[in-house]
Amino acid sequence: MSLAVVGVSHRTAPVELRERFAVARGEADRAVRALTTGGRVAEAVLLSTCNRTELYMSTPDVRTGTAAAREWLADRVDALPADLDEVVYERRDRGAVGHLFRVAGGLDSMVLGEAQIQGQVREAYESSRDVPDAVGPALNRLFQTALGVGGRIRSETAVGLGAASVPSAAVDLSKKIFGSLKGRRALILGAGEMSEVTLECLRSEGVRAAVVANRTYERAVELAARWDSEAIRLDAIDEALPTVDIVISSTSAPHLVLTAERFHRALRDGPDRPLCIIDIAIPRDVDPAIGEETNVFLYNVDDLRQIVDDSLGRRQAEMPRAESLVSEGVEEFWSWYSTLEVVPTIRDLRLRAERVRREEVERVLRRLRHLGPDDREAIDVLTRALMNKVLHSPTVRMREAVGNGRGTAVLDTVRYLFELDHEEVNDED
Amino acid sequence: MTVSLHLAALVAYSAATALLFVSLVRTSVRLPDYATGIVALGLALHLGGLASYATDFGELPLQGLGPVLSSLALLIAGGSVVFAVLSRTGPLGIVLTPVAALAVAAALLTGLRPGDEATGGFWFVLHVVLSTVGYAALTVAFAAGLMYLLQFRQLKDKHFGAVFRFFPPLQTLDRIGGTSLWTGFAALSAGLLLGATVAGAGDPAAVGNPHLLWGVLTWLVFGGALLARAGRGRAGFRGALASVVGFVIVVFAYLLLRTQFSGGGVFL
Repeated sequence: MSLAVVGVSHRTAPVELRERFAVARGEADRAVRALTTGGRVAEAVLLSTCNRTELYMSTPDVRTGTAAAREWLADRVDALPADLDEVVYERRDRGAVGHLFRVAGGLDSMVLGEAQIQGQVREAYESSRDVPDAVGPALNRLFQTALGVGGRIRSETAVGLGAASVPSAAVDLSKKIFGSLKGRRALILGAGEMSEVTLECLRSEGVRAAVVANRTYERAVELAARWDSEAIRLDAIDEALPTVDIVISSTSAPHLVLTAERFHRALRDGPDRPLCIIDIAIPRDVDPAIGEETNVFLYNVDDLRQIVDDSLGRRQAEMPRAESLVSEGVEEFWSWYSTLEVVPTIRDLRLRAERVRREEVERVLRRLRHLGPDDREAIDVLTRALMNKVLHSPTVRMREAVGNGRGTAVLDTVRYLFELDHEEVNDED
Repeated sequence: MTVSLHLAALVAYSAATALLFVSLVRTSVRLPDYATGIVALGLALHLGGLASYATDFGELPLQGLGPVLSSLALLIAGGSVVFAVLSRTGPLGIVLTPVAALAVAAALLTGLRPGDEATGGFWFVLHVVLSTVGYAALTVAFAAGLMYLLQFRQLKDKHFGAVFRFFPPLQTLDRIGGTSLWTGFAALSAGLLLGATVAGAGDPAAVGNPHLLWGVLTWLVFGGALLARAGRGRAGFRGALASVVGFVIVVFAYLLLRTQFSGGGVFL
């Protein structure tokens, strides 16, 4: 059996093509079922996110297995497999294992170290497990180890630390002032895409209530409805300001939306508790003079970019440590995976020995009919113990040989010496 | 054994301090946890040292400068571990652990032996314990206040460097500072009242007692810091500043009183 991965990702294909390969969850089950019923692929897991569609497989013949995966991918986009050679990549055995570990750890993500991929890998694995016989011992162990390695990369390195996007930098900054954002109130100025992404980030951090203010009231209502928030008109922000802890401004207004005069009208003596204002609009929405206020922490998009650049640089610096965890994981998995090769030989050897033992014991007992049940039992136990002792050492040596790369030669020798390939072994034996 | 265990605790506190400073410079997930582990180890050694002291001298380490400093250091290091474990504010140790190390070093230098002052049994012990808790709480308030002021400056000036990343959030530091001030104020108030009772209230000679002078000054510092936290506007900032200035005043006052009233065997 060999392991392989075949797929496309943000590294090889543009978004227009990636979205054509993307597979919905219900569809993924069907794809895995189709791949594993043909006989060319023994086990399969399909990982499909907005940045990658990858088929992980255990296959009796890696050439035909990966060809089946390429055909399936080509079918998705109505192309011939050969037409996709430039965008479809393939990794085999250790390469496939290392690739999955990197993916699970966020090292192969578009935003280095992003955490979402870990959940997506878990989901793909669990979804494929729901398909009967799609996930066997090899992929089970592979994905469980991958999730473990991904977890270690996140907990033992700083590869996932710090903000990696402008909205997450906004949340990080707010958390540096308030600690937890649970129960805080936010005011969102503007109802565009950036406002929505930031609102999503804030809500996921537990911001209790958000008020959306926009020049076009209807758009504010739409956005507020999507995120269980309240909508107000832009001219009503004076009343909202004293009640909030965080202001995120991202309108497309060509002039200042929150002037110093308006701020002082809303908060005559200034805020009596910290107020974090994040102005991600260009041109800016918030008068920089407001940042001089005692309890006001005002940041613009350049400040956020500075945080993002800094944390991405730090994440990159952690790559060597993360890669060493990947290598460690690959070695650990591979030493286990190699032993799978030895299992059939050990099983056949023991079955053969057991059959010989049983035949000989029965023959002897037929001649020694005068023996009572206790004596017969003693002979059975004695021969079984002898057999186990004799087989112990070869079993250990075979496992060792597989571990240090001499497996094939040793296994072939054992099979030859004990005529295991001629053995008719089945579970009844 | 007492001195050896104190030396071992001093080494552990110093190592943890060094590790925390490395964590400040390098972004690391694990280093602050390792530092907390080392402080906890130091704490266990320190506790062993104080237990050995109690066995050697047949009394608790609450009399004499060395023993009291050691007890104070134990509370400060313990606070550092408690904050790290309960509220994930291990970085607070970057101020608390070196203070604990300094206190242990001072205790070793001045000698770990009982002082000559008279004791008043259970009430005296309670008076010293409460007062020591008060001073430890003031140290925690100082640490939180100092870090608050630094983090505040970073956030205001948009410096997103090591301090920004490593120090806890402003509100967390403010909450720790406030809780420490109230705890310390309550403990010291009770400690002072007990001390006055034990010493004999109304004794005119007590007015010039350096113990009393220092205790009252510290109590006033607590009161001032709590007042500074009250009201609108920059309450957190004022509270942090008052905690830092107050701590410095208390330390300088101690040094001053020690020069004026040295000798006589009292812990001052």
